[in-house]
Amino acid sequence: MTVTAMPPVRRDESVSGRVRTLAGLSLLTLALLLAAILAGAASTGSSLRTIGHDAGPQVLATTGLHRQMSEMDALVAETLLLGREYGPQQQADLTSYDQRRLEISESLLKAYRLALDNPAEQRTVESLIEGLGRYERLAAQARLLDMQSKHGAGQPPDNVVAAYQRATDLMHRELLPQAYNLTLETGTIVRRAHDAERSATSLARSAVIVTGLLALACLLGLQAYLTSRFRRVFAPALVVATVLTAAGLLTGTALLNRQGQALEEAKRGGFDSVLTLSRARAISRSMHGDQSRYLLDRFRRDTYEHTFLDKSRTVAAVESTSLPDYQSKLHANFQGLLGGLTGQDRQRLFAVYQRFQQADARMRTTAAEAAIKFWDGELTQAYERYDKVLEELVRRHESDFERAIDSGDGALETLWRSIPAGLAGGAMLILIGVWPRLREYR
Amino acid sequence: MRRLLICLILLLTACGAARPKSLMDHDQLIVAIRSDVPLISFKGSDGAYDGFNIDVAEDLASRLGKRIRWLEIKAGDQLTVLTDGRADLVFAHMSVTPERKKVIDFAGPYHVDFQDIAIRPADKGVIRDVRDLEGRKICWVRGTNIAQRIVDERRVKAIAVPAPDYNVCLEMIKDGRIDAISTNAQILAGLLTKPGVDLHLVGATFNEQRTSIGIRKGDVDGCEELNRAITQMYQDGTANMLLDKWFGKSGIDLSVVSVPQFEGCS
Repeated sequence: MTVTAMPPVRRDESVSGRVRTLAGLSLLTLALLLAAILAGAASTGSSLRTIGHDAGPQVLATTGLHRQMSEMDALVAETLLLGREYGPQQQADLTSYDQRRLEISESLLKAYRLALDNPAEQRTVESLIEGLGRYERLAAQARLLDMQSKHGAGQPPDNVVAAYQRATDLMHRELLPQAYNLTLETGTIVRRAHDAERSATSLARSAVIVTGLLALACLLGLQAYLTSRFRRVFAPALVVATVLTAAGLLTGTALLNRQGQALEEAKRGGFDSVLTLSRARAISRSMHGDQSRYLLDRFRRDTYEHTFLDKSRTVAAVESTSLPDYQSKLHANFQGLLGGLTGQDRQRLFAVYQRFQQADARMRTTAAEAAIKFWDGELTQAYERYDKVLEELVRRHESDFERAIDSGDGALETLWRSIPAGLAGGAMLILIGVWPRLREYR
Repeated sequence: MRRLLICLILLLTACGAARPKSLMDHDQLIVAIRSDVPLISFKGSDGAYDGFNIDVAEDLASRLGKRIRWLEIKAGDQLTVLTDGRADLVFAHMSVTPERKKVIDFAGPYHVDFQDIAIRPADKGVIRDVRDLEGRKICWVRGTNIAQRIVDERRVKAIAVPAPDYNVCLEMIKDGRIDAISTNAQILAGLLTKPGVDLHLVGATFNEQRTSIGIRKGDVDGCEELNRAITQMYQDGTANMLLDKWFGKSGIDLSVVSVPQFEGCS
């Protein structure tokens, strides 16, 4: 009895053991697939948070800071240049100056709050607050001397210019560079977070494919074994489980891909463009300031013409040896910060930028009195038209950025809900499909 | 199964290869320097390198946790040592130009300087700023863009007389072959410390010179780390201390120390 019974028992045990192993392997790979999908979703999710909700807005706050401070210094130069004939305009400039100061305080507070875990950035913000206080004192001194001198439009007396030099030196040599570097540093933080999480996501994506294929292989192996052992064509529960696993694999990969795309779009089309365009806008504001300083300060005309050329080359680089050379060689194929623009945007921006440069060339060849009138009228208008196009471009890329972040967030929600549910269903079905077969051996 | 494994390995290696080469990958950095610029980078009497650039390079490297191996270069080699891959960094008082940016990248600037003019004391009354160089002979050290910045950028019709290095410029101004040497205020201050040199600094601070570190093209990681180190160097007062150490007695106005505005790394 025992002799005849032995072989079937061993056979029974090995069959149930194999079924159990195959079912267990299927469940394990299914769990790994789920883990890979969730890990991928988590890493892209945290990347989206960094770009969309933390560092992204911080970069925008700091680029605003640079432009507002540039403008503040340009407004001081303007009021000094205008003299008493332009009384109402001087008053308007002072009102804008106060407005800028308010905006700067807000930007600084925002930047400080966002830099809580970065001591170097915090020190920069603190040093900016301290420096702005010193700047206000020097600017007030220059204005007081200017009022006492009662000069007409044009170059104010030398003592006023000397007082302004101290203020503008502080602004340009200490404060503006710090604000600019603050923006670059936040850009670095975003780039690094993005790079790290992008490689994590691509790893997760391949893990999803590998575990998904393994799960499918295990399920198919299980079914093939059951078919050959029990002579059933197929077990409906296992077929559905296979379909669910395949669906989980496909949707998981597709969603991770879509999310990755949204992230790329947000980073390149949105964030990078906003950062570059805002930097160009801030530098352009300071170029317009260099024009008033060129008229204001006869001692440093050469220097201000040179800084204007330097900044022009940063914004739209064209190979050239001097400012007149630059202005005559300027063409639509320029490089530099704005060099990334394409199609209509490039054409539109080039048209207004070229007019701004042409107006600048005219101002520099016009005699003193007339130059100030020209600067106050046509040149400022040309600058404002150029600035407006830049502002529109920044706005548009900002909304592209927000849209991309929203679409990434949307993809996340679907991931969290449907895929785990589908895979859990698949696991249940495996158990249901295997259970009757295992019971035959009880 | 084996095919699957191969796929996985291929994917992983693809990830590894995507990252560009960076100076951050090495423990030791090869730093290219000149050895003939007094106060800035020169060989001391004991044979060791010394000067402002040397101190800055050492400070920044220690902030990055790296050791330095110096590589001495001649004027005019600043770009090729990087493009040939012979050096990781170049500290040669280079300013950023669009032409140079086509072949290498720049970290920093680590210092903002101005261009000044050195003349014979006898010419004190006639050469007071850059416009007075009209029609006069100035020294042009090959490989630098300083003379071009006067003649082309400022449109001052000075005559550029070529020379291999500043020592030759000093000889030429002494025997009257040239009238002026113009370059970074720091370099001039260094030249004035040489024995037997009797020159006058005009104090015409005209072109801003953004002294930057040359790095290999595309090394964004290295550039960002260097910029962070420079920020720290200015924040903790090391930069001011080094400027004072080397140029405190040179006659350069250090009352306002400019914080360098970075070029940006991408």
